[in-house]
Amino acid sequence: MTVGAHIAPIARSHIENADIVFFAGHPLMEMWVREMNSNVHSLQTFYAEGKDRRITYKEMINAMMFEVRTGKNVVGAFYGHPGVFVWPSHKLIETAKKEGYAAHMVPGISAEDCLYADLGVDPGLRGSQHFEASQFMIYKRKVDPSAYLVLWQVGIAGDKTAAKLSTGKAYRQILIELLNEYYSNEHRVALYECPTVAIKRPRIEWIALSDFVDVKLSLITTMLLPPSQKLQKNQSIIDKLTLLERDAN
Amino acid sequence: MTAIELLERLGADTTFDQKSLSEEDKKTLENIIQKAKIFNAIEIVHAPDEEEEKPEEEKNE
Repeated sequence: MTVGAHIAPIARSHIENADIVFFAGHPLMEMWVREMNSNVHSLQTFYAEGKDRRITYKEMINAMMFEVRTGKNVVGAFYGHPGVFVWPSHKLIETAKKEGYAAHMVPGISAEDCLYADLGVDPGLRGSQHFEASQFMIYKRKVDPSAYLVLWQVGIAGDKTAAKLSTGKAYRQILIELLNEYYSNEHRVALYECPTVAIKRPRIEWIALSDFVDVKLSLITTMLLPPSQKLQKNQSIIDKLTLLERDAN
Repeated sequence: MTAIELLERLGADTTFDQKSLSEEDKKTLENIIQKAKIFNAIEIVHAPDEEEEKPEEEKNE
């Protein structure tokens, strides 16, 4: 998501008119938000390498709820879409509502939206499945190889500790083996990173799946796997639909 | 114009071409971008069924 470009007018208005704004996201985004409101508090201070992120999230919620309970107009501003890959925002709204405060979320532009635009992918064309990479590995998920597959946070694929900022080649190799059930090693996949500033280009790197083990990844790298199989017709359903149409005529 | 104002305009104004940036502006932007490099974008995702699992006595209520 790009500074200057990706904010909804209603979100900006909420930020500008808040008594206090809590921000979680890229430092450049934080600087931008500070231009909109003079009372911005960073939620980034709660993060630490080796610290369980579940604790971090609870601390974020406590800090924001403290201000809500004093009667202030509080805004939690999160990088991208506030409801996508952001546990604390959902929990905060739930907590505030439970305590009788008015709370709601306004949508933003997520990395997913940027991916569709930059990679020229229409998820409606073949369907699209999205999984967080670690969750995809740890739980048994069903993949439809005739649709797009998008794996988020591949830089920490396989992290069970919720404390790592990167995992290594061995973890990635396991992910490749898991994907090999549906995709060959030669299958072309895209690594994508949305630029934070307009003077940078998005990262769009097409590689063979097997090369994923050696590539440079960041915390914001996403992997897109195009379909590896053709759509299969469901003939029994087609027959039933044909009968319906025939009966209607 | 501050660095962040420059970035905001570059992101929001199609008529504001980055080719029109002065060398000083470019240096200011590079500086701010370099400084802001470290960023933790990671979010953990629990399986909802595990998260919402309640103790037996609560389930029976």
